[in-house]
Amino acid sequence: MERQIVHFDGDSFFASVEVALNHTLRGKPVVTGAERGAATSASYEAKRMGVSRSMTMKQIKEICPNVVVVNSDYRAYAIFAHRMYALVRRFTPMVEEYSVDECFADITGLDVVYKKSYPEIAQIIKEKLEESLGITFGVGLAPTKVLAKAASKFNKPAGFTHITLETRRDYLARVAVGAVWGIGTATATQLQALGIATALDFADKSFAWMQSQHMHKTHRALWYELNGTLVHELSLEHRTDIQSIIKSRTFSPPSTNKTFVYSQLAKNVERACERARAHGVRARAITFYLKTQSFMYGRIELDLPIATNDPRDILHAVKPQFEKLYRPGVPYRATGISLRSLVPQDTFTVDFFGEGEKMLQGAVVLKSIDAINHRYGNQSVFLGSSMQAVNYRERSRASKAAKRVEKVLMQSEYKKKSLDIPFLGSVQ
Amino acid sequence: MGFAAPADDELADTVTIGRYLLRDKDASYLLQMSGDRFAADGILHGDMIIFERSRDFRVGDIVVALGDDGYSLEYFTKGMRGQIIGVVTGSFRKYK
Repeated sequence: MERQIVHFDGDSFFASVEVALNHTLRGKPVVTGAERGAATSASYEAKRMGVSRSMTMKQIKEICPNVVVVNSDYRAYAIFAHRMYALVRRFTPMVEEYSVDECFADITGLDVVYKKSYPEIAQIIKEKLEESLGITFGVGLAPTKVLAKAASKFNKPAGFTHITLETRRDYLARVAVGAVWGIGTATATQLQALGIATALDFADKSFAWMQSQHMHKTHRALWYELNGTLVHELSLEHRTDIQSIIKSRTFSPPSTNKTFVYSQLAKNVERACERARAHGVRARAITFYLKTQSFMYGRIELDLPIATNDPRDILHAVKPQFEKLYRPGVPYRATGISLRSLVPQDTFTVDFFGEGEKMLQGAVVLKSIDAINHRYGNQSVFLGSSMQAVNYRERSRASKAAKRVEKVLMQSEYKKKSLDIPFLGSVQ
Repeated sequence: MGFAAPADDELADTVTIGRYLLRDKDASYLLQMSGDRFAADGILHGDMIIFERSRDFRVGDIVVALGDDGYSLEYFTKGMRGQIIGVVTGSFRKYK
């Protein structure tokens, strides 16, 4: 039986969520990513002005002077992503949470249940998503994941494209081979040198040709999928929303005080861990860096003995490496930490050195710290090692902000079990 | 002395406020009422309004319209102008 796979892809997802949450942005060119100085997404209004994600903010402002640049709000994007998965799951449990703005659904057999054709079912789900979330989706229906993903890219934004075994070749002729999901730039260049320009050129090669060219297993899988044979089954487990948590901060004036610089790093570690706890994830690996006044970076990557979101564990691992990286007399201007290889809090791997048990005891302390900081403002309670980095004016600002947030019932990253209902502002 | 420990099944008899207030949690959003246009319906200035992004509303329902001036609550009537984005499903208020 021909499988029926649907791919849902949120149009300019981050920018669209920002517009859904702030009606004054409607119709305006919106770009997210102010906090990192690079666009993480651009609304269609911005794209029409020529904005693309590879541009710097400076280029974007030149080409599109009235652009509205906002910070990425990953918490909000995660809420919309979860709603997307949940809405699609109302139709079928066969859902793959592929990324924050994309998912796959296997609707094979649902035509009997709903007494509707497959394209009709895909479009009913699309309408439900767009109506409930207030943002549009590119949707593709096809016999395989690779074909469905190619299909959802046609007629953007808000497009729906159905690729069947019969119409497959017409569509693939219009897709550059480098645009096929899973073909990287290097492979694309290689294939082009072999005279393969489109996805169809690649799909039309024989299996014997694939073998003669020593094609990698993953590319053979792609070849099957492009030819309509499903190789990639949907992966149905829940994933964590975030791939990494990054906290960094520039301080001025630059400092040659070692305790102060370490204190800055410790503060970033603490804030990153706070965020990890709010998201219910732990890190298995970290990267930290020190930036000098002359913009030289020193970076160290570390694997942790156990997945953790306790700043004390991380600082324990960081301290000796910091000693190696730090150069006396050099003025430093920023520190940063990235928590990587995140795993959900509840998957708990037991290690051989009793670290796990120690961590459970630590969890009680951290929970209290989070509760106090939520109630009285960030950094009411903090580690002694962060002391030098805590700015008192900032603390009083944080405490005021905490009160303001409480006033409108908007939950921050505090409780994972709270129902996350986006607050849209006032109504008359 | 002291209170008897409650039996387990007594503890089970609870209401989750979120569940009580929300009909469709994946389509619900909050707004805060400003002004007293709907005081007659018991919606006062400062009340929190829950609405669902949906097209499932009938004549007489309180709906949320989005225009150039922002959000407004309206009674749905046939032939209504403006963009209706959803229907009000609940509200709540805090006294302290």
